[in-house]
Amino acid sequence: MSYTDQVIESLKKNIAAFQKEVHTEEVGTVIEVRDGITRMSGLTNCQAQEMLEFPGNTFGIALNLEEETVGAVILGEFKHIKEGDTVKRTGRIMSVPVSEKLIGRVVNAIGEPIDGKGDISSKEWYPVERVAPGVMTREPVNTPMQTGIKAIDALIPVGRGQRELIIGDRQTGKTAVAIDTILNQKGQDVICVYVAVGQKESKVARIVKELEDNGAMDYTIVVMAGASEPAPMSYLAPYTGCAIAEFFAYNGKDVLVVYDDLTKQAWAYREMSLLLRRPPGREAYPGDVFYLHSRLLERACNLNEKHGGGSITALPIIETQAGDISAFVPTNVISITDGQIYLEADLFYRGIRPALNVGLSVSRVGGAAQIKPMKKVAGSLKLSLAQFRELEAFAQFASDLDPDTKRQIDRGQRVTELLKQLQYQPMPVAHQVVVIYAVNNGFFDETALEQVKEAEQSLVSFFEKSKAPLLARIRDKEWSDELEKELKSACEEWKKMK
Amino acid sequence: MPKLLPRQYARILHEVTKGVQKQKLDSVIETFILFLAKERVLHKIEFIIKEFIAISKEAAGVKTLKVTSARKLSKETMDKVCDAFGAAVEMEAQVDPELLGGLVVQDGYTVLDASVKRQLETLKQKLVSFTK
Repeated sequence: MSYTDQVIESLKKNIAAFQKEVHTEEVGTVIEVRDGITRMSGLTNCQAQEMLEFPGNTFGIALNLEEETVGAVILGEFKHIKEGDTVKRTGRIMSVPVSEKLIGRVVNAIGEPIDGKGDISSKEWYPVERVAPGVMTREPVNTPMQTGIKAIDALIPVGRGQRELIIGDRQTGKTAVAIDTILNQKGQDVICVYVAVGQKESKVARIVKELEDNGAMDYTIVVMAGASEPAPMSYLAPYTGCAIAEFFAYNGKDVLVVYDDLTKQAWAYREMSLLLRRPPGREAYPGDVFYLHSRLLERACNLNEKHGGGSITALPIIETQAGDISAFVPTNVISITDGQIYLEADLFYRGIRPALNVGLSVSRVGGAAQIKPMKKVAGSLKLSLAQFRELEAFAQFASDLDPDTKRQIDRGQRVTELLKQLQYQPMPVAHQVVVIYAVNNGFFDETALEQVKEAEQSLVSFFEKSKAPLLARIRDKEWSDELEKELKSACEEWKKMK
Repeated sequence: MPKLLPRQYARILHEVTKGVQKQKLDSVIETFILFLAKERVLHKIEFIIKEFIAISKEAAGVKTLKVTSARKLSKETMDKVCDAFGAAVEMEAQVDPELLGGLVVQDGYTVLDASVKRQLETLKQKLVSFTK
């Protein structure tokens, strides 16, 4: 029997087995529509967060269940919906289709592909809202998530399953940090989900192109709710991204999710809540804006072996206004996450990029998220940076300094210079260890400040060419007195060569 | 205070007119109209009356069915449908050729969909999910 016949045969079987059935549905009537919000009567047994079907294949989510009416947000276009229209219950909690085939695709907030590469046929659906994994299913963070950015990997390490906030004013390189982290996951067996909330579509297109050019779309999914889309899409997109991440994490994969950015999601939620006539609170946000973010970020996890051993690392982004980190939403998200990477406009304009404020940035997971060699070398780096910061302001006024202070300042300047890094150029962790070791042990002290970058280049290429086995050992987390000795003699060798 | 829905006003009217004697009815209605004017919802009176009719029918135990079919139904078929839903039934018949065949009966906020169109859609979904 040919394949065509087989298909025809089974189609026939399916048709023969088809039972005529009468469907009973619960319906409601639209009372009012405004700005993506509707109120409806009827829908007697409607559940919270249930998907509703409007005419014209449009869907909505029931959010307000009141005595006489149901309030819902419409996902997508709402101009064709009018008073008196019939709304059907679907009996399904808002969910999105998930599958392996999502990798490399760009989808919208309800999981439909928008990159013109055809349908994604998914068999599984994951609810967008799900209770975060409980205590018994989790494990402490114990594996590093290398960002490839020297300043972050050395000073504020991020671990798999951690939630690290990236916070800063507009135009300080928040997205760049996140994108570099995604680029650095190449070959690390990590799936990345980039959620763009309320972003300019040109910016998202640029990011997708950058990811494609660097071969990062082979393991990345982009979820997008553009600036032109209605508020409910921006509200939903982070949850959709999280649901997709959960699909991979529960199947034992390590996942990195970037929410870019949650400020815009909070704005979208504020808009929806005000239209739904929920009482406004501080800065006109509704009372549950904390819960909006906490229930999302709490879903980041490091599952234990018994539960598949997957993990979700979350990098939420928050945009501050004029450096004010004590505004409502920034303080909320700071308190939810396990630390923050604070980017400053001042540093950015001074040419220190990534514009990381080392004093205000922290990682509450810390050393557990670093490999041993990095832990060893990062300690003295922190110390020399702290000493430098203390002396820096003071040194601006002093004309002649004692040699000890001068040495500390020189060292600090070189460390700062070395922590600068160009965009889209993540650095492998072993290289980072070598560079930081070299600066800690004074191998850069005689290099002129302007030539530090060049010297770094030559050090790295020297190690790549003639000390590859040593790099491999560092990468395999080896660290001992003997290895340190070898590293030292290698650095001396490089110094002599120069 | 946010305005009430037409249905809620209709319910108020139903409550206040319940058991009122005929000669007093005029004054009750007058008070209610004044109340609506004070609430600034007189323009909604059309909907309120509609809801009031529905509520009083409901109170009297009369069901209103909205029956939609592809072709105009004969008297006999209509009677059969009525019988299936009990004795006190009022019918509103509509014709929608898009249904292709069968019936759609709406009773309040519940819809019984027995149309050919719906059956075909279900069949299509089943076949599509089978080929996936």
